[in-house]
Amino acid sequence: MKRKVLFSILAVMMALSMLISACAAPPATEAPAPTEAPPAATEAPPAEVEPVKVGAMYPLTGDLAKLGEENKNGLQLAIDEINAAGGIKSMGGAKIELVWADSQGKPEVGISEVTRLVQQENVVAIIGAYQSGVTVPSTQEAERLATSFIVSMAVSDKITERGFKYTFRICPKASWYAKDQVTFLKDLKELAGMDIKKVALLHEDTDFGESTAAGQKQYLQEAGMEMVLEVKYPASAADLTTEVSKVKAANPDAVLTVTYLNDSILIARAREALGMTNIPFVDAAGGTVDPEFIKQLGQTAEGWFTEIEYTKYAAGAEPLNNRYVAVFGDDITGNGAYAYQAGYVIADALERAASVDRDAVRDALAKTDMPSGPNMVLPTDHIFFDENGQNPNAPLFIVQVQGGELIPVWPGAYAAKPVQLSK
Amino acid sequence: MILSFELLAQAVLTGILIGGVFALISVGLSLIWGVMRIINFAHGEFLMIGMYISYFLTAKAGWDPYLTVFVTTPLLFLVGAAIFQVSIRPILSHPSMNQIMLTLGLSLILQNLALVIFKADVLVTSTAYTRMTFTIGPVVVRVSQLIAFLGSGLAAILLYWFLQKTDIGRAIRAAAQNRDAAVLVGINVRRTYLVAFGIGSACLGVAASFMIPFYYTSPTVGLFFGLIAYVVVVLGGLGNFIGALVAGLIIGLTESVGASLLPGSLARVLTFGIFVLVLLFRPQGIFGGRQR
Repeated sequence: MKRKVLFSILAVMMALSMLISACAAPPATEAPAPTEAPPAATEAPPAEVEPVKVGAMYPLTGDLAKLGEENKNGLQLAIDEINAAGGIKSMGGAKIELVWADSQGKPEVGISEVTRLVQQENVVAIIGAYQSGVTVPSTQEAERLATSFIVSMAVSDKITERGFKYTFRICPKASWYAKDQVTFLKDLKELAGMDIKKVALLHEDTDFGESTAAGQKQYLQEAGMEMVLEVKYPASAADLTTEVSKVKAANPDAVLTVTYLNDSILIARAREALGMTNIPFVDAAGGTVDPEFIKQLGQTAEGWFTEIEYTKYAAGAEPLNNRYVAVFGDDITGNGAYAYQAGYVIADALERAASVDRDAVRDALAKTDMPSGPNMVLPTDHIFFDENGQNPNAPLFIVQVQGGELIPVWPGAYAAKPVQLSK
Repeated sequence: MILSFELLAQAVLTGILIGGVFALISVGLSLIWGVMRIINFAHGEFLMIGMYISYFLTAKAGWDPYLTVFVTTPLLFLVGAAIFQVSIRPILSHPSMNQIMLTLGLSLILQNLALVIFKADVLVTSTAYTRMTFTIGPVVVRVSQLIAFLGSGLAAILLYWFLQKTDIGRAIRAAAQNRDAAVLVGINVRRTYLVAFGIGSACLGVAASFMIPFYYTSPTVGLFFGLIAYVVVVLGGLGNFIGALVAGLIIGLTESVGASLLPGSLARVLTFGIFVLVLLFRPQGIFGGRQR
């Protein structure tokens, strides 16, 4: 009997630990891959003009080092280009000097690094910080120190919903992933003659899935589409055939999903097995953006839609990608592209401010309005910051798996190929 | 929502097919418990090892996934026997808490070793069978899951025959019933334990090969299946062979039909709710005490 009690206690402990580990599992796109980040290679400034110091903070060591490096490389590329082209002309050709800070992926380190950058390094502004968990407290510290913080990437909605004066975000908010999914469904009528009226939601049930689904429901309602069914599942499920069968039974015109990698694989297989390939499945940048999704599923992945922040296949993206590949070897990612853009945003603001005064830089940033061109590579006609410091023009790409590649099919002007729907 | 007949039929079929795999995984655990009263908390991790072996043979060496069963099964037998010999045998007479801690530690070691060697990536491979389906009325049957069910059933029958009809099988059952009496009649109990542990692990090799065509593998894949196996073994009665088989099907059905009725992780609550209720009200399992 005693053994049985012990056994029960242990089994329950195992159950709990499994649930906890399932909850704590990071999204597949943030898979840990620790690598040692090399120290920043900033060029020596010319003797005659003082360089302008700009702080840059990303997770450069720790679990997220690989992703931090994508940000770092993108920003470094932009600053190197700006300096090579003559620096800040209104300031006598002053070069921009990046002062790197490593958040180590930790909120408390982020705060102390912001303090160091401002008080010891005397930077005019800071760019960062990739993770929402680090960006939220770091921008708060920057606000306290009256120093502009340009958020190149970190998607938590609240970052630009706190009434801060010194926080400027270029990248989209988390809730826009749901908004763009729904807009895409609406646009399918124009793109493929498909009139979407009934939509089913299929998502994993941690905070990632639940919060995105809340946004999906809101935007579906605003778009006048009917949500016919919502199916939630634990991402660790052994089989999702039943869940996908439920979706099929509801007979939707399209399905919006929020997934991690393992469950997206099970769903893709069940979708194919149940003969649902004629129904568009649109994922919210979950497991489906992991290269493994296509690599391992092959034909089964074909036709899936998902969202990404940037793609080399977008119209006009090739020159930037080629420059990036020439220096760093890999294709540029969403992190890299948004960090690259942040470099040009600060250069643009410094050009107009013609000053290293932090408030002058802040006011210049607030008046940012950059039209599409060599200095503005995002898939939109122009970027600016609203009164909350949020760039309202940060559309995501909807990409479709076509021939084993993620091909952008939306927004229309930046699509590389038309949407393909199987009958 | 209203549960349609089609949906229910699909859920029942899926539940039975996946339940067959649960059953085979659990039989191994049940056997080990029945013979030497050790709960192997690393059971799920043995499955994970089997799945990696089968994955690499299938995806990298181009084997037919079902041929890999002839590699994973003997290999898992050896892995189980080796681990038993090195770590479990020395503490067989120790308090059960030590044994639990040891197998729990083994589980963590194996998981983290897999993490170091294979990274956290989720690996799947599309085999020739993966995309095959056929329909019976409104119900879609995935061939890979059907084969897994049949293969698991066949393996369980073979194991049952082995335990009933062979000398080693009889020795295993004798050692399970009464260790001292078994020693007295001249059975080499130490060797019997070794073989039993190996066979319990080999069941996972079979399950792993049959799962590869429709399931993914990752360093933590064993967590879920290990946990399901404990639930199944408790439900079927600790050490009860037939009980574990039937309970495997019941849990498969609970997971699947539960998922069609309840949202999200509530279906999981149902599974573990059964587990807790059985422990509270019928700790000997729904099929009575230990039978052999």
